[in-house]
Amino acid sequence: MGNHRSHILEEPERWLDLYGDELYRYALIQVHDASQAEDMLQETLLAALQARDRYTGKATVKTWLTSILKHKIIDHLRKQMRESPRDDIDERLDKAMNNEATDNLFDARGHWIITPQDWGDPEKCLQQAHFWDIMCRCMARLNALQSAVFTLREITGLSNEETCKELAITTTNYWVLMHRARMSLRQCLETDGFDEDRIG
Amino acid sequence: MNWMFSCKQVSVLVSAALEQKPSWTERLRISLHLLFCKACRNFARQMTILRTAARYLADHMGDLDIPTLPSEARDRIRKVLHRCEPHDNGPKS
Repeated sequence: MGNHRSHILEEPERWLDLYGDELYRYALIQVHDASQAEDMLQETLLAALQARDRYTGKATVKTWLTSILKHKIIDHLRKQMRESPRDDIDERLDKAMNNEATDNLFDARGHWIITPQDWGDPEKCLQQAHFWDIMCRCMARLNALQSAVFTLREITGLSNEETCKELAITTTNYWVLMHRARMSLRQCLETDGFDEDRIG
Repeated sequence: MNWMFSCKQVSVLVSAALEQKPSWTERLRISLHLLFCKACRNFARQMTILRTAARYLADHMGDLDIPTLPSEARDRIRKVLHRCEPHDNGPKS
């Protein structure tokens, strides 16, 4: 057909006009830092410009650009995780392993100390702008390790095996970090008053 | 062996179930606990919401109030692209 291919011959500046916002947002929800997201968008467009001849036209330009950006995000999260000093990672993993962070959520008999709140109907919950404000803020507050694991698995959409491979962590570490990330997020959403301000 | 899981155990298992389907005995024991425990039912629903929300975020960015590319950044990137573009093989009409 080649109708996708003809698009690619347009000026790359047009990619910026057409897909800039969307690609920027896609990066922003995963790296939570505006200037990082800007840099990634720029790198993506430059990489695309260089690889322009190899674009086959099988995917849409948007899909093609998104897949380049996805790799940049994975590299970034991997680097972010590695850049925490090695000791720090080991220490944090140890901490994550021996339940320190969630022990204080339960009493000696394993009952909740603070009862998890009813967030209401999931469908309705996601319709509220308020929910997304807090969700994005809470994701940005995860530590580098939890953030990398949660983001790659849940937003980038890698499988759990792929996430382990990309971040070079063991399955056990993966399970623990993922659980920690979920526990931190739900606690953050509750403390930031998501349940209190719930509408209907 | 105590057949009834504690809330603490259920919290770990419910989160793990999002990664790998538990065995049928495990599922039965989790369901039994959830049947009697509103706190853990809320927790389980929160876990589902977190997963759904993260996926929804990636798929529906356009509908949500997420910042768009700042115009200074757009101008800067435009300049960089302009500099790097090999103009001699540019599009001809």
